[in-house]
Amino acid sequence: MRFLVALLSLLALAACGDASATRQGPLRLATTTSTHNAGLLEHLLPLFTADTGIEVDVLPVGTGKALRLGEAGDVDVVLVHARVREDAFLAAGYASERRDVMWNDFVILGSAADPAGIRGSETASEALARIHKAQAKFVSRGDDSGTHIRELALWAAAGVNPHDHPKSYFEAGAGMGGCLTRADELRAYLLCDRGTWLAYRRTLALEILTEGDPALRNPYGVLVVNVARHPHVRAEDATRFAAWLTSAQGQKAIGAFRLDGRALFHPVDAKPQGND
Amino acid sequence: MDFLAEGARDAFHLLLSGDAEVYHAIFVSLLCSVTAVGLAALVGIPYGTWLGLERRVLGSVQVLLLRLGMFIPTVVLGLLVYAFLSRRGLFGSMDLIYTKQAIVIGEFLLALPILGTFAHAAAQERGPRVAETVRTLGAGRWQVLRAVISENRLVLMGAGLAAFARCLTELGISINVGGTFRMKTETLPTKIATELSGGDFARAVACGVVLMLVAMVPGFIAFGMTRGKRS
Repeated sequence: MRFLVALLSLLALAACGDASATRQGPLRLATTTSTHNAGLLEHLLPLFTADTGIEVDVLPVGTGKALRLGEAGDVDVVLVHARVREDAFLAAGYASERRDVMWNDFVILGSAADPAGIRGSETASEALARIHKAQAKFVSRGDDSGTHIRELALWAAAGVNPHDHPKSYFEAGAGMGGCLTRADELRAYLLCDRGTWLAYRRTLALEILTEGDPALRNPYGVLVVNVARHPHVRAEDATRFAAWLTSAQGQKAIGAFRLDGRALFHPVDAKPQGND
Repeated sequence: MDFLAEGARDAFHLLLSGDAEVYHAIFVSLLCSVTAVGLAALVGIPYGTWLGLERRVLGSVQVLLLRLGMFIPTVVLGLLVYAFLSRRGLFGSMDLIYTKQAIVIGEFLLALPILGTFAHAAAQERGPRVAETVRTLGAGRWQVLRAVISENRLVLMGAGLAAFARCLTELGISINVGGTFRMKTETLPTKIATELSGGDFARAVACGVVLMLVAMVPGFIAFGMTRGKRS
């Protein structure tokens, strides 16, 4: 409802042609489904609001779309995980600043039958090379999300092209949860962030087959949409949000978040932890 | 509102440049809806006509079910078919989930009540007169059915078009049981949804324009076929 009001007031603002006025209503954050599915934001945002009095509306979308929303000035702040894209976003002047926020990691999931025999692979490259060789089914996000971008980079690092076997490479164009369901039905492999996996795993017959490779680390960054480009964005509140996330207090709150009794997102200065 | 004009321009560009993904989505959309409507016509038209010709056992209940069937939301149909075709479902072992066949099954169930309802209504209204005439000429039960269907063909074609339009443009079935897999089970409506969630607004608008163009073709064909029928 609050989002609707914000949307309507934005439309009203646009209709008046008064584009320079700061938008009213809650701060708008575009973020990836991975932070949202795991419940991290539900944990962090009330703490932030209690500290600052700033309310936040969340738009959970893929990294690609989150950045586009930022480019268009439709949101005030963006929290995503695709470092190369984030740097390009900053360099193009869409953001006034970028900060490292936290990291979590990806895992490679598959059915217990493991037709490509990737269980126990030391590295993601090795696992993907085996999947490629066995022509085993693989579900790709295919939606230009941070996870999709990382998946493509991992294929490239493995030196194989998944499109060599179009019959067994399934590009879903869907979110992480939708892809988990699809992979579960197809008994296919897929790349998933650990948070979404933990949030969904009870309903799935998939299991973790490869994890712990440093190449599977997944850093998140926060970007404040550039007020010089979009005068209506709430730059001041957005900057406070970015500063809060990276403050000692915000970092502690991130580290304190638990799903199934385990830490999922790690403060930026945290050492990589062994994956139990 | 520039994006709509840009979308139209991009749509023609996509069509002219022979974009493989878009053409494949057009192919899947047409293949599934034509097959589904064809099968639904084979079952629904004789069934609805049979229902409309005479009093049948629980006839009004059957008619009610057909009519209610037209109101099942496509997304509910999608969930229903998913429940049966999923690995945990009754027909899970058939490996049909996330295939074009699964989409056809769902769209068949979407089209069937539309064709059945219209066939029933048309047969009830004009069937008895036609049936009586052909019976006096010595027609058997099947010939009566055929004669009534033939007499009602304009109404039935209209029903077929309505069913086709619903199947071609539905999202709830193909997203849930098709799986939106690119170059596999992606239809034009699901392509719009996935392009949009991927943030490619321009491509989504272009696909929307392509879908509207494709959806209008049968309307024009039907218009050409029936024009002059009045004279």
